[in-house]
Amino acid sequence: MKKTVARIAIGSAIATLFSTVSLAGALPQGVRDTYNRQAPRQYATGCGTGNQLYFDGPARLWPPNHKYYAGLIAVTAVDAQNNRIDLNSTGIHNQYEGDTEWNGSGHTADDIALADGEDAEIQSADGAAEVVANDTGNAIVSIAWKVRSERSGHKTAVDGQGRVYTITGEAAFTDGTCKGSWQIIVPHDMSVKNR
Amino acid sequence: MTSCRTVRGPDTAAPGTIRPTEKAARPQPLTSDLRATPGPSKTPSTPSLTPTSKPTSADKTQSPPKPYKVLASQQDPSADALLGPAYADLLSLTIEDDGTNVRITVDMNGNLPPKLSDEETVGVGVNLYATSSQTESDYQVFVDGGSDGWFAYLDTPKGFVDYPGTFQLGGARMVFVLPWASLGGLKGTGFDVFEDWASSELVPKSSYDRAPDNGRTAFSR
Repeated sequence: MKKTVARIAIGSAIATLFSTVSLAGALPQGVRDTYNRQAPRQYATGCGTGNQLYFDGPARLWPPNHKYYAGLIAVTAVDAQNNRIDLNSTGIHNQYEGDTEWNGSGHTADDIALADGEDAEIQSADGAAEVVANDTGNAIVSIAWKVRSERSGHKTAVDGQGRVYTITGEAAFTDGTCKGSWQIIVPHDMSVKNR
Repeated sequence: MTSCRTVRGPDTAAPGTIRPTEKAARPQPLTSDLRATPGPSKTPSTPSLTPTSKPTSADKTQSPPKPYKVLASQQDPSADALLGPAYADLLSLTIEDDGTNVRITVDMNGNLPPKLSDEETVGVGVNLYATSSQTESDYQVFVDGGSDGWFAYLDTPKGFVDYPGTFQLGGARMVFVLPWASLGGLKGTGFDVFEDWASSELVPKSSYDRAPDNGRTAFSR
């Protein structure tokens, strides 16, 4: 990485130009390996013999460009005996202050919502901070979400170092019930501590 | 009911999974070339531009260099971002075409610092829409500014890709040159640009600016 500082005369004005020139590998390997990729599937435990409840999605998103993550985010329940499953899933984040009180990054609405085409039944009211959805089926049931790569630019006492999306799942199988909770983090910034 | 904790299973990341933070581009300094793009006259300390000071894949296709033609430009009132600093106040966005590449020029109302304070964040995004009915853009050039400087990204319908062109920053101006091919060969429709700024100093402040203020600006080539 080469750091340059140059002063260039433009007419009668002097523009001071700074640039760190490095087009490849600009950020450390840890960042490359961590952000905006599908994380290892995370399983809930205690779901009964052969049953599964798991989460697919990223663990961390960057940059905060206000757009939805393009990959899969879903909570899935699988019944080992192909029996009925009732799946409840919720989605929420910890920066609704950023949606209502500030007008900088973080102001967008519907930052967490059911994915386009998801046919689960929404049980929460329009505009509620926590989105609640239910779906029922046999053998395998999945509820898909979409999440914005977004966070408040403020470091409030609540949000600390960024935004935390929390997605939960609770599956009722014929032989038991289990639940899990998973997080997707959008850090406040890409300073060293977040790499 | 059994309460349970979550455990990690096998890595399901698919080959070629997108990792945007390795896709970012650092800015190059603007070069002075008064023959090039006419920018807004009110832009402070902003040199005119040539696409790059260093050959890149975007430039290799320009032999000899072809002139840029302005496809569309969107102005924005000054000082309408309220609480934010001048460098977080959008003034204009211009989209130009040389037949192969698109050149996107974003002018702010104040000189962009090389780095921001630890308490500051800035995001600038240029959204490009293939059709008028979409609520989410097809392509977006996004710049993240922070205490480490500036990073440019290209978001596509499939997520982030290697930033395929050049990113220059200097004075109050940012310039992006990308092959049209990296934007799916867009022939036009609409664009908008947004900027958000936040400071977490003792009294938190933030600002948001957008151009056009409502809707999108049409372009075609």
